[in-house]
Amino acid sequence: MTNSGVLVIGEVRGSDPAPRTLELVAGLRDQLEPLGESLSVVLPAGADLGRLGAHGASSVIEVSGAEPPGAEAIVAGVRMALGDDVPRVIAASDTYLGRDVAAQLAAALGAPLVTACERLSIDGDSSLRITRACFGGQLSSPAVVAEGLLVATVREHAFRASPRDGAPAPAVSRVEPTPDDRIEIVGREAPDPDSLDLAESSVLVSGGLGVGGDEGFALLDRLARLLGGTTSASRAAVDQGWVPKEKQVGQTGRNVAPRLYFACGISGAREHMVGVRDADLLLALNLDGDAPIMREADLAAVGDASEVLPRVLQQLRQSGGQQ
Amino acid sequence: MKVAVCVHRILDPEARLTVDLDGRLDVDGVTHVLDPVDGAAVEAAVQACEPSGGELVAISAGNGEETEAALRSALAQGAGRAVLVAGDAAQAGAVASRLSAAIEREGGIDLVICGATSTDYGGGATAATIAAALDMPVVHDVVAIGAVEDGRVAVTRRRDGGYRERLRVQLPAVLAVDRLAANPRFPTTQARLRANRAEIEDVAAAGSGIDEVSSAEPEPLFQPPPPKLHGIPWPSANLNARDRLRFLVQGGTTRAGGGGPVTGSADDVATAITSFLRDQGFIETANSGTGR
Repeated sequence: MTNSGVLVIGEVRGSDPAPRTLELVAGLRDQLEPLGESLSVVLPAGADLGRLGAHGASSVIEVSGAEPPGAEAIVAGVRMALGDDVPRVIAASDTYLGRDVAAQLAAALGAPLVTACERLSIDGDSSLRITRACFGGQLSSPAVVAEGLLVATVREHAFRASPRDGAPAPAVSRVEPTPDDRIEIVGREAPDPDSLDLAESSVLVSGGLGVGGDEGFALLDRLARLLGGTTSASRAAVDQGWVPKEKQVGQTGRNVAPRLYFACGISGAREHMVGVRDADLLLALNLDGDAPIMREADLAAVGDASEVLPRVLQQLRQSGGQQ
Repeated sequence: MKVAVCVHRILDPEARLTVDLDGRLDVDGVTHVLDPVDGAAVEAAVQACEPSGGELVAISAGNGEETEAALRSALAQGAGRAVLVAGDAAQAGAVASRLSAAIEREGGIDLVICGATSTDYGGGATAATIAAALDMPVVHDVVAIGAVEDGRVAVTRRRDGGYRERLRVQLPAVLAVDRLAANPRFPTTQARLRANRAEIEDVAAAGSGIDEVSSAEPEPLFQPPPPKLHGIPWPSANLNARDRLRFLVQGGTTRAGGGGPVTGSADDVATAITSFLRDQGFIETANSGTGR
């Protein structure tokens, strides 16, 4: 039996498929289209499927049951849905959940697992070419997989999301796996801002010299909590002793990739900016309208953090309702 | 409680690695160290054994002195015994099947602990493969191992975005730990000396029936180009000299941005920031994030 088609392990953010899932689906669609092979997506039940169709999913397998389903439920759901039809690739995002599910599927199906793929291309003659990052991204390793099933986790931004108008709605089926009673999920905890790792946070409120001191950082902390994120700092603020070194972003600190990087009182020296290159959105608040960071920001605002931030906090509380 | 911890050594991840034209790693002067995630696994295993005064066995599969050195590190960190499964183990699947055979041979193991994702090639199938071979449940990315109650161990695993899931897992089980699970202790000199003198049991030599696996050709490697993220990190030829310099000074960040900075009274600026946050959907995040 030759393996055909691709199965994507989808993730959700809110009620939508996660952007990295849409990227993965769109990238694989572009490669499968010339071959006429199908693209299925496994997704926790309840997500909005319209955008998956637009990005190229031909069928969607919803996993219902636990809310939200843990890795075990997804693995069981995939095994139920697959039956005897084994695709040529099972692709997941290179996230904690994605690697977990991928490792369990690879072990269960006796397939090789390749993590942290930066490229994955499917050739007509049923071979696959992949490039994965290794040694912490210092080196890349290419490989060709000739035949059989490959389980791969693909890094974010390996492909580009590209919705198409008028794409047919995907066929939806639903599986309800019986949970493995050996593993029982007893609780799920939201991140605690105090112990949240900078690289894990989707919102970073970052302060520099312009924040002025501990009082200013207390404001940043309250703002970060309101936005569900954590605080970080520039080297200048760390050198002043206002924040611990673990919070430092930039060349001598951490590289971060949040959805929002809110820089308060940070001028944006090169050494700082290389650490925030991967941020989706950059919001800068600085007294000096000519500071380098202002030209890079998606929104640049001129003002004193100690005057502006209390007002932002107040407005957020009003619009956010009963916080 | 009887715990097995699986360890291996890798090229020092802190070292700067280069490859030659054939894609082979230039390993001159690069030392091997215990994979840091395995160091965390050993410490987590030691801590899991402590309350019950249990037995901790370190297991490693492979050939040569690196495998032995990995086991001696684990012994110095607190493992009671060390078991080596000799044989070439270039492929991840071969390592996992050797480890499972050794665990099965050992017998009576309640908990198998290993690193979730190796620091060198990012392999992460070992735990799941062992679990499948021995028909045990597996939990990945474990950051905390708690008490055992009614034959179930409490564990916390790491999920994306800083989330944590608390689980209860029936023993025997395989736990693949994250580096956050424990800080490896620094062994005392006495512990090191004891570890160096300790006997390492070679189970393959003892006729365990573990098959030889042929060695695989190492994969060619290459140095990736520097990351290309938001746009191309070098200045456009259309820029004048001043803007090119500015681009370089800004660390190669380029964004759509636009509109120039917002100025005005503190109230105006605050309003602009709030509406930006609302337009980008961060305020809804705040509401759901605080769990009202």
